[in-house]
Amino acid sequence: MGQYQELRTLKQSGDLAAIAQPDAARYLRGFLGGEPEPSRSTDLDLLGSAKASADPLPLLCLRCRISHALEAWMLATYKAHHQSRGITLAAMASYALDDDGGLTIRTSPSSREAFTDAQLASMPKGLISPFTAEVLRSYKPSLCGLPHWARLKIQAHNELKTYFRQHGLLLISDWALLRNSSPTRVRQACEHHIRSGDTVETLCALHGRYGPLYDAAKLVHKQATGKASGWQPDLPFLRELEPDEDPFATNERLKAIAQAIRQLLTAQATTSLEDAAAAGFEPADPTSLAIDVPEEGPSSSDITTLIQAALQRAMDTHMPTVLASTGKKAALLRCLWSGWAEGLKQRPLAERCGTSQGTVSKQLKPELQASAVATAAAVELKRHPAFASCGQSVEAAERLVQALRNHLLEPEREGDAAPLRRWVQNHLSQP
Amino acid sequence: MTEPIPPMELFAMPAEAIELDPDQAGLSPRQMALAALQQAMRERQLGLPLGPQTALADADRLLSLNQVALQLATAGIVADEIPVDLNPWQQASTAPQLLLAALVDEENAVVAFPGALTAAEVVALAQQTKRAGVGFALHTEAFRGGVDRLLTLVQVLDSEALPRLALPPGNSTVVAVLDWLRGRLGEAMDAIGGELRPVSALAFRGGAVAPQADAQALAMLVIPFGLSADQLVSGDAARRCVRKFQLALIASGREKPTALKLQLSSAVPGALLPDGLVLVATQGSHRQTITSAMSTELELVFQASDQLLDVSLGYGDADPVVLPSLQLPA
Repeated sequence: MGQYQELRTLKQSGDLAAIAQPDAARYLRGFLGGEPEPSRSTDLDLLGSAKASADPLPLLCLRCRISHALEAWMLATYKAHHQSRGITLAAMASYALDDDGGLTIRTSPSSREAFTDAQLASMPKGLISPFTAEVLRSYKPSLCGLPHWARLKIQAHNELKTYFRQHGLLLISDWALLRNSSPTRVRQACEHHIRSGDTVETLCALHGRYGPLYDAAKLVHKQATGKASGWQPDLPFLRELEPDEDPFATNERLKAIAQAIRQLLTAQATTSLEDAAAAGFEPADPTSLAIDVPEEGPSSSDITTLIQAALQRAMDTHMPTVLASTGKKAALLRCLWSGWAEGLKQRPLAERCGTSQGTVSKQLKPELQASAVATAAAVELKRHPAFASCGQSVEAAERLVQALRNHLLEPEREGDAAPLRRWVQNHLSQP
Repeated sequence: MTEPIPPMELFAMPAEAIELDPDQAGLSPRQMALAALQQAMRERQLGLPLGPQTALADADRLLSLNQVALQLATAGIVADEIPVDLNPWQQASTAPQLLLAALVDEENAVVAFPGALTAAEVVALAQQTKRAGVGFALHTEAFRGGVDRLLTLVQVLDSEALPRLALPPGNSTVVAVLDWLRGRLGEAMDAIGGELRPVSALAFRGGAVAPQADAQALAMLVIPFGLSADQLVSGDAARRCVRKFQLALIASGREKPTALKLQLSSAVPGALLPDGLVLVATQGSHRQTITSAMSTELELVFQASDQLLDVSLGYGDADPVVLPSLQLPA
């Protein structure tokens, strides 16, 4: 079964499935004598037929084609990130593989019209459903092929971006990636990851001209749409960038550079992970709390008492507000902090509180609060002569705050609870 | 065989990145960074004064956080370098005490703070970095500590522990081509034996009529080179060599230099250059290399740009002679 007569869609069960489209198959037999190999020329032929008639079937064939491209992108993305980030294929697909193959499209809550090119063109601005309709409505064949356009559109899908963001992932467009890569990075990427007829010098020079033009075009886009996302280079942009070159070739060169940068960053990320694994995890040292104390100053036990008192006061002042959340999230936050105080890690915390790991990491930030408490305690401590140097030296100030923070998060003795966990436990156990 | 790792479409959000409300997606990168800073302070229940209240979005103004002068530099979330405006650093009285880096993803309304640098740290880094015009770029990895470092320093340190420091005047290794029009050669060029010559000499170079004199030539600087025991030397040492040649730097344009031609030729007009001389010039990402082989002349041309032009001349395995970076135009 081919890409023009089989729709990839999300079923109610949450699985991705193929739905054969007999109407599309019949149309292809009549129009092209059978199922063609997927190609740009077939896409353009079908698009031409859709524009020339009120027949919904050529668009149905293209909707099938788009669904395959979207599914392939989603599968690759899922494979790369589901283990580390917990994303699910069903959730991703719910944003884009929502086409049921119907020959009508919803135009208002109570009405439907034929799913034709003319109908798509007449629909008001804003995301339309199914997503394949949005891809078709916005497609400009002069810029790129339909499958690539489908991938660009899904990568600009705001709700999907939000979903990824909730799981700690950012979708970065080629155009932003190009703009935010230095000449050094681009040269490295081109030298190691591009195999083309263009020289590295040519590609680096192209990239050098791209930045200022991108900034200007992006500003215009932002003023016109109110959005930072969704910008694509148009033909005038590409012609201005490379006046003597075919704009489509320029577009391909830019995409090739962006792809090379992605490959470079992927390789660097893999290497740094391997380096980190090889180096091993170095736990914070709670004994680093010791600071330089003048020989004739207060004793070590006096210093410890000062520190404990400052930390206690800082926690008493700071933490109640952190834990005193109200509204819809109050119960969740209490559950999260309570579980954290018991020593639960992210996954069991998420299970206990009935939420995702992404939500746990966003809502529960004990390290951040420990830093805030440690800084507040340091501000108090530096008034004492034994800590006066911490107000006068960057190194001393950082060392003190780091040591206080470590002390809050690490138990003093094996089996003990860390001071911040203990404080949270005590606080939450009060009626 | 190991399956190749597909390139990343999605990037991991930096640790402690701050997500802004979606309705803030239309803000400028600076405004987003400020919104994120304010959000970071709210999360930590800090009510530190942040100003100037009526001009927070003005990129030309320094911020004041808890009475500490702060410069904010922004770049994209996947940037490897952050451009820093050098203007406030020209004088100690206007210099910031801290520099905060913000990586902004406008498309996702996410901001990450890789960290902050003290003025002393910025000055130290700037002295190792080439500056172009009114800015220079710092590697994102130069920043450390996230927003917590900033918040710690502005709260714990006494103000005098964060001095305002001006950057040392100019970068001694950068030569402004525009100065040549005013008869100023620059110490760095003088040190390698460079000499300004009247542009009329172009037409009668070495007594011979040049095939194509530059009609718009504004200034010409000539550096004598020579080979002494197969070592490349310049200046007076070159004048004593048997194998002598010269590198002419010819600035051209209507009123100010808009192009620079690098022309390497024998000291004896029309004579062959020694084979194996390598002339390399780099301007930002644009790099040109040319090697002599039975050549009478090597020539490279560069257009004016905000990127510095770096030129070197090499021969054999020895280290090449590196010219001071050239700024074209000023």
